[in-house]
Amino acid sequence: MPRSPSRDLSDRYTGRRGYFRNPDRLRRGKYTLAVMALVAAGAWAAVDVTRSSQAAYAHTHGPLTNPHAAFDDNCAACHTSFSWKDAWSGNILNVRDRWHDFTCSKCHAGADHPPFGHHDSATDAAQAIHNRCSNCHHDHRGRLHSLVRLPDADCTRCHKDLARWFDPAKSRAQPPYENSVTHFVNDHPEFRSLNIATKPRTLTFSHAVHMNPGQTYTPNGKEAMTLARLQQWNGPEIAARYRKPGQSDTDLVQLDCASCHQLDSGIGTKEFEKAKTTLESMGAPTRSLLPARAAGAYFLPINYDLHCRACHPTTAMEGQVTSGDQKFIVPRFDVPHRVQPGQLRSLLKAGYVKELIEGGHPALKEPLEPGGRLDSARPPSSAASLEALANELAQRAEGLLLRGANGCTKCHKTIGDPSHPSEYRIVPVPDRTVWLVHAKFNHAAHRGASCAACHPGTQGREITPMEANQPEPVAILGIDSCRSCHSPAQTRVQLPDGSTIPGGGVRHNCTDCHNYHHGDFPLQGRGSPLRFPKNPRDIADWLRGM
Amino acid sequence: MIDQFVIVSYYPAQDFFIHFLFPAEWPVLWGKTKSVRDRVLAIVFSTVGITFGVILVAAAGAAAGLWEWPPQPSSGFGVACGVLGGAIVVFEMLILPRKWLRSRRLGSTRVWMRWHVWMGLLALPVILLHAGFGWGGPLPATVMMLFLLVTASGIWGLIMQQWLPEKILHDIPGESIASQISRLGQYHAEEAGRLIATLVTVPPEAETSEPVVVGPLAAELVAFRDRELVPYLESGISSRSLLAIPSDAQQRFGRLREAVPPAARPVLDRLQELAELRRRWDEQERLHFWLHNWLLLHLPLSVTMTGLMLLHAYRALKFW
Repeated sequence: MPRSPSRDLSDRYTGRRGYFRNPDRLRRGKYTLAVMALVAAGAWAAVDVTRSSQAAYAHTHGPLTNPHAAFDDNCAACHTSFSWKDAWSGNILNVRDRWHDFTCSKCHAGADHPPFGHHDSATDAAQAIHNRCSNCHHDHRGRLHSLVRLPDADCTRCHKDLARWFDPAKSRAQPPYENSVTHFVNDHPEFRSLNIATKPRTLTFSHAVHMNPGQTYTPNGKEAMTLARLQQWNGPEIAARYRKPGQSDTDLVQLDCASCHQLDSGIGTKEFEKAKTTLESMGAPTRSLLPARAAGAYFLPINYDLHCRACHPTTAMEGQVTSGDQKFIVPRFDVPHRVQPGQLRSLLKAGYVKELIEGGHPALKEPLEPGGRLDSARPPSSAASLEALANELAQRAEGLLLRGANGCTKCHKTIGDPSHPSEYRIVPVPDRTVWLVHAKFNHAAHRGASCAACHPGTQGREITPMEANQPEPVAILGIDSCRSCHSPAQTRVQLPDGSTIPGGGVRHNCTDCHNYHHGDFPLQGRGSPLRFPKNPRDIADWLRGM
Repeated sequence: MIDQFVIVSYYPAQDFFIHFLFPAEWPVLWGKTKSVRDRVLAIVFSTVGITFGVILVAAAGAAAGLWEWPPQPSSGFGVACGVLGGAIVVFEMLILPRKWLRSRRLGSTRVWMRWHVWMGLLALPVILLHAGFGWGGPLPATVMMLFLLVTASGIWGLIMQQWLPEKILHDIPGESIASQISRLGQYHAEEAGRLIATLVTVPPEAETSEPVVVGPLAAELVAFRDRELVPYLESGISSRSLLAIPSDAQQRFGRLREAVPPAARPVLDRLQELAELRRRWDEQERLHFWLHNWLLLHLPLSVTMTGLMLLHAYRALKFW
């Protein structure tokens, strides 16, 4: 009987019907590799669990920033660990919230304290955002990443509609200056500080006059200050300070910006020694008046003793009195600066008495009356005479100093009635030591630009006395001058002549100018006590992230 | 509906739920296309369509203010995507025990495979959303790379499964069980040996005393058997035999057929048929390897990915 093809096919497997139970090479390879993969994954997991610190790198998005680098392998140093107990509280999926549970306050105390810092007038909802540091400060972005240089979105989240996040009840100041600020170039208000309508300047000063040769109103004007005159008034040391290379005594004094504006006290430099000599020659306390070494971002405050006194001494006038037929000259003498009118009369009187006595006024030669008492209720006629003289001289000198053309009011603003010295006061200066108080600016970083590039009107020029004796307008260019560089690259910048050139390209994020949490000076000023950690630790604990 | 009720009424309770949850009527891919080209295109379009479709839906949700965009892994939406993606991965891995326990009635392989494919395609955009289209740290990046490789190997395998079976069916008449080809080669080698032996020797039950082929020709046949035919039938193309080349084989068998007596030609026809069958099986082995080699990647990487994914979830939930 012929065999069917099916039987032929079936016969091939005679004795091997269970062939499918024996895996072929592909299947064996598949499972062998799977087992190896499972072992590899298990080994990774075992290392991860048993040596969590060494394996921590595997879970991070990147290295921590330099200040936190010690905690690269120590998640628990900053992160709040999630326990199984928390899993039943319904927040197991609320990962973002838990991800923000950091322990920053171990080292950075006070940053989340509501009445502290930049956001103290925020609503509760806004405060809740700020209370979580990581809402804005993102780490694990490399060693060189800055935690304080934030993307604009972190700021504009609130500042695009500030009224929504502002609680007037909490505010200690005025309402938000600008409700919506979203971009430095396109949507940022002019600098508030440049509007001085509500806070006028309290000092009359003309850069134009002082930058002219000889500090005159016009070129070759009268009363020009020469080096010889300066030397005559103050001595050779001070004249040497203002002498430019190659100048002779008859040359006019020529100031430049750096004659008064200094970023650094310059300790150890010739300039510092010259300033010290100047003060010492005047008998002024150098340790008090010469500033300590500064960071160099802002110019040091102008100091009368160091920068003004050489040309504008505050002296009591020379007195000429008669005693009988004799004329007696009371020499001029220095009057202390930084005194209010109420104190001035007594200082002048004391000064004149001192000069009268030291000068040997003839009244002092009168003998005491015979039988007179030393403790007599009536002063001796000589003393009465001197007091009267000193009073008279002091009154005249006070009038000159308070109301004279070269007196206090030449530079200073006053308040009150001059006829009532006790109520008459000189407005303190400087009214501002830093102009852009809500932002930071580094003069040293902008040293490549001329001063006048950003401070127009500060150069020497012909000027009328009327104009020169008024407080100057603010000599700081507005925000547009910043934008010519701090804007997207290839921004067209219009020059004063109307032509345009490509500019921009320098960074222009919010945090390039604005600091928060009083971050520049965390341990100084308002809120600083809160910045001290409650439990300061030693270095070992700090490195362990404890 | 009535037919369905009639059908499920025959199944035990667990089968009812399995068939309810995994309806066999769903096509593996859109359109039930018939040509290989259309099926491969359907896979590609399904992958792209599902991926971009889900991402667009998520983007629309973000535009509606339901969640932020781009999604953040640690946001509520991101975590939900992670949990969903993780659940899909776990479901995908259940196909392994399903294979191990194939004797249990846990739903048909076809239905399981359909869900495996569809859920695998769905997992791609879900995991991408969970990751916020980023890599994350070393462990999440490793898991993500493994996931993408697993998905890619799965799609590659799916394409191979759409194409090669039909090609084998068309190109390999006489297809056999791939894993037994080596064994069958030996079987056929034995048959070839016997057939040539009947030509060059006289079997005991033969009526004549003369073999069909004698003299130098018989020696040539024996040599052909021992040096060329049997090694080729046993080892296939790896024997480096010229019989693996169709034109050479045709020429070789043609010469022998002309030399041998007419009575021996049916045997040579059978021998040539065995050689051609071996040649087709070689091709079948090659196609079979490409049909299944993606599993060498897909399964081990899936296992590693699942293990590291669980570790990632544990670490993420512990510290994030």
